[in-house]
Amino acid sequence: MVLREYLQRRVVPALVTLFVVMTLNFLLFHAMPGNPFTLLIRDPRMPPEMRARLAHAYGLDAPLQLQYLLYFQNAFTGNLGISLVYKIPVTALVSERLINTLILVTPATILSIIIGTAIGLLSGWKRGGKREVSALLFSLVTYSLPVFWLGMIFIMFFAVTMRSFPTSGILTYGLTYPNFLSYLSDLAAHLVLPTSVLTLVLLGQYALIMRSSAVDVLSQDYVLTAKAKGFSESRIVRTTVLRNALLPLITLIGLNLGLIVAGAIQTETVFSYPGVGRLVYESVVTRDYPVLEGAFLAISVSVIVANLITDLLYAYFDPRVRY
Amino acid sequence: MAGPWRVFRDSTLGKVGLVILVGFAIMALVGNFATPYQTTGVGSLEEILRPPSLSHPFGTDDVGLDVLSQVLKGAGLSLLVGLFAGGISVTIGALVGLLSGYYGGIRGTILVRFTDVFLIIPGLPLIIIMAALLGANIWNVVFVIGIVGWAGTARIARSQTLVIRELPYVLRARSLGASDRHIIVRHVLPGVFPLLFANAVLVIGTAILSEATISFLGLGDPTQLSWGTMLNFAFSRGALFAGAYWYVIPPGVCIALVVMGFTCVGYALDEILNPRLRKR
Amino acid sequence: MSTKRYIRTGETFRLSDTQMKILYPLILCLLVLLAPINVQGQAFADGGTLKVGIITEPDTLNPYVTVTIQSFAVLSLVYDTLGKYDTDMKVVPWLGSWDISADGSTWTFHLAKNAMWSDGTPLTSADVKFTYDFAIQNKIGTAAYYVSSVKSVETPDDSTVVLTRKTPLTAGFEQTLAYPAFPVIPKHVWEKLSTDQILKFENVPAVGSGPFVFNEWKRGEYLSLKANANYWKGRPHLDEVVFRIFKSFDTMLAALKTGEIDVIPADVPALTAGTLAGDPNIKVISSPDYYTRIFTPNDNINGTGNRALLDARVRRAFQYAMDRDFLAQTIHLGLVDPAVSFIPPAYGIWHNPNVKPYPFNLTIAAQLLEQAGYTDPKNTGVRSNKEGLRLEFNYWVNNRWPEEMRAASQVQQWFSQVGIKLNVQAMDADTITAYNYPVWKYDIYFWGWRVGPDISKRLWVLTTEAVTSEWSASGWSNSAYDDLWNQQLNTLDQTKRQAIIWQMQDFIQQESPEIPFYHMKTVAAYRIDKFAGYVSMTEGILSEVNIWSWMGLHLVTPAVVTETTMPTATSDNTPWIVAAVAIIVAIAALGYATMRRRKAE
Repeated sequence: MVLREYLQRRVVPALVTLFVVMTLNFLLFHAMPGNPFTLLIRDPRMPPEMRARLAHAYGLDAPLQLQYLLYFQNAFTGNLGISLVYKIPVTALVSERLINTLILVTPATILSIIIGTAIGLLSGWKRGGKREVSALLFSLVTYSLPVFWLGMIFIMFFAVTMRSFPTSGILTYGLTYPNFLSYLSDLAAHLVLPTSVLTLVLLGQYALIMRSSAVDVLSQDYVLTAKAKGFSESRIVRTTVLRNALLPLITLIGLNLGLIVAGAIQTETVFSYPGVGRLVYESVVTRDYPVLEGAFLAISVSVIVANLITDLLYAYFDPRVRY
Repeated sequence: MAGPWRVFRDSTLGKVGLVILVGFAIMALVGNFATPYQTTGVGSLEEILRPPSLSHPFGTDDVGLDVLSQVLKGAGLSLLVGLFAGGISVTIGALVGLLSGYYGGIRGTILVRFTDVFLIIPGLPLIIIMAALLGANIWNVVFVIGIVGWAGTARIARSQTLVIRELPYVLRARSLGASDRHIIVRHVLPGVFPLLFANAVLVIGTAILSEATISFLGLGDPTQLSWGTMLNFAFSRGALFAGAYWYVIPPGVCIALVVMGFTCVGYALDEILNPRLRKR
Repeated sequence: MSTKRYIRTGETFRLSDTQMKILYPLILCLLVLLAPINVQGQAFADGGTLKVGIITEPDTLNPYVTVTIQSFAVLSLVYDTLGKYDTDMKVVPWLGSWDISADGSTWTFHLAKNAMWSDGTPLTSADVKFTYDFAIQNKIGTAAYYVSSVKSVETPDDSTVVLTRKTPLTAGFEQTLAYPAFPVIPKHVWEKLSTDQILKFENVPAVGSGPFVFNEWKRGEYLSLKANANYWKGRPHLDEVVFRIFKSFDTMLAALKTGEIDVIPADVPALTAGTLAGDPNIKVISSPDYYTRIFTPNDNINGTGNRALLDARVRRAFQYAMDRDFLAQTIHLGLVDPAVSFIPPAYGIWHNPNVKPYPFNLTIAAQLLEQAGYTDPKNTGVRSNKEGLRLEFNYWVNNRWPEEMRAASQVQQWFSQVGIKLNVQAMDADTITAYNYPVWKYDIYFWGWRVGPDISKRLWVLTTEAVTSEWSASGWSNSAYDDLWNQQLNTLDQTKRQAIIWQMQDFIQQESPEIPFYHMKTVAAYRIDKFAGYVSMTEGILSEVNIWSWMGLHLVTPAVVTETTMPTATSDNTPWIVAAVAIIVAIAALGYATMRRRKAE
């Protein structure tokens, strides 16, 4: 099919999803009885004038349908409200944290794909060997580990016992950096543990997919033919397995976005890393509902966009899509 | 169903998984009725955060209770929450997927789009938000995990339904005038069931992980004992800072093992039951 | 003296000036040479930035709006009050000294000379008069309480204030002079605000006359104050105070251990105190406090909780059925005082040490329930009375207190042994408050009360007036207690007043509308290697009532040598980082090369 058509089929559902997510957001935070905003203005120490003022500011005195429309209008003009805790616009807070999350998640995802693919290949290539079993075991174990728990173990080991890496934050507070390299070094030191945890947890899925893909392909007839023809094993793997695994791999990235988000939330919480995942947790604890709403929206939008990108990648690599 | 049981003869993966699951099932049963020490209330001052010893193989926790006993007792709830929440997810997913696959047209499209949306929406933030809004109660936890994780099952159910719908005997039944309900219940459902079963096993595993995660984050029910709530108390009371590894490691290892068990069995079943993978 | 530029999270990196690179070493050399001269003349060197770790951030710096105790701490540094609490919690003169007329109705304040606002305007009696008039006129927020007994304020000259109190006189007036919730505010800043605008006024940067000046506030991260070099009492030794806000206590504790922060003034969790105390550079100290955690039944006659709670006999049975000594030991590791009277010992002479305690005795508890008509003839495990009212209660515990969740589980066990079913539920504070007033729609919840050193105010919380003004915790209303409260307010003779207040405590113990569990202590941890001069008093070493620590804290070693050595990024991580980066790059390159070759074939 034509690329343009293909994309159209992807973009429209994405927009629909966005609409549904925003509606869901609205329903959760504004339409439920005893919704969090009404709870907020119940603080008895607040004078009645203040309560009325807050109720008006949050539009609680308007009919529900109007609130719904207002919500959309506000969201599209970039007004996601003001954080109750930080007293700054939610958009500013969320975008700052989102960048931090991307700094953490991107290398972790790339690393997990590379390492996971390597392990999966290894385990699917030589069937029945010790390598296969141990690789399989490794991927299964890392897939089953609770992310937050792995983080806790890392903290206990590296911070308390070995003391080699910082266990929280993104930069050392109050430090002056005489040069850019030391800034990078401090940043990287803070990233080592959380990135390792996130990578470990994500690579299991890629390993497993790669393994079944490898097993699948390598048992095909044309592979036996190639072997008989004397092509080197590594060449066979490269030309057949990797090429065939590419598409499912890209699909998997798209499907795994939820897992990446879940992993990021847990990792950031345990390591006190100031990303958008941690923001979700914080705003739940402090009942900062505007921020919670905004963070959820930001995460969902990121996932939708990332999905579109992987769809693009898929289209690029899929031989059936013509341009 | 003699076929699928072959998995436990032929597949090492399946065997390993099954052994693990049976082991934990026994642990849950035993732990629910008899534990070496009490698991609720408060212990005694001298027993607080003691490292492993002969009398307490896994040491004691932040209020002096035996960790091993709690691990045994907590198995039941962790597994049950996984089972119920997983059950809810699979039921909803099966329903939506089946109906969206069977019915074309508007109804089908709407259901498919609905499924796609829930496939994309990141699960954990939604679970966190809903758990926070609904309150700390074990049934809320089950409910929230259940209604968020159904989309994967729905997709599988739908693709399988699409295949079955076109099978000769189904087409024959339709042309003979059988009602939709009859076809769905008598033909589609049994055809979809094996794959759903394999998927359910995997879903239960993820549900157990989800419960552990939100309990750890403090959104679960701290009045109940599960591996997740154990880790929550370990973290929030400062046991981690105090270096009490014996409190932190066992619950986590149990969670990982159980999930691994479900994953192994799920994958093994999938290998056997998935018609695509079967021909090898 | 030293200028530091901080890189905050998320901000773009700023390269330091090349000139600074040359100047810094030069300055260093000069100062090292001059060091002996600097240190000689004074007892303690001025300088140093005190980094304080806190979890709960101040909500606002507007004294009319704020309700958090952390805000009060900052307000106590940025503003002045007429008096301050000394280490015995007596009110002593600060911004002004005072003479009291013979009948006690007129107080004449003599303000300190040279007091100045942070914007350079001198502080005069007009500001003090304005502070009172403004509060009387606007009647909002916490300030209203502090001026409720003030009739008028006059200013015969720039440094004298004459305050006339309303008659009949009420006891404890000096308490209103010392608490940072009601500081002296600058007329020229606040007079422009209408009542409406007061509530919205952020008050950042705050213009105050206190020993520290507001510097910077990055919400969620830090709040910094700089020393007021022109402070009328002499500048504090510290150069700067930075309140660093942490999201979780474990990162805060780790920061204390590494020296990233110097002190955690409160809320150090009991289980970690031991680990901290093991460090030779850290001291843990627990100080008495006005903070009590209370088991609070729904005593409101119009409420919809379990009606059994309205019976004092049932509540007394509760008292016998909970071993608070045991809980204080196991849950809080003895770092709190088990409560007998609901008034903590921190209140000094107002605390009644002779209140009859309820010993832990499940048998007596069961007997009391029988006498109250609750029996369990069929042995179902839950008692009920003739009307079928069961002793089953929902018990809500603040979900931010994991230790109290643990305690609740034990309470549940004890209660089940006497035939009471307790359904424990974790709830967040906002929800609890929402069901509290004004609907009184709950059974029992567990709460904490911290009202501050003013005994009248603490006693007031149990009056009927507190119920109608939505401050009461249990909704309990009793006219006998109300009468006693009014009496103590109007009794100026200390001995007589004490007798009344002691009587009130006996009365509450008898009626048990609320059951205090423990009187919390402020558990603080501080490093001893950098700063010294912490003064210990009620509410801890760095509270909103402790001005002495703030004024007296100083560097342990001379400022010169320690402060100009810039902390640089620790270099022992660099080889690891370089190795890691190299490996990552190698893997990526390998992968890429492999992909390229595959494509080429």
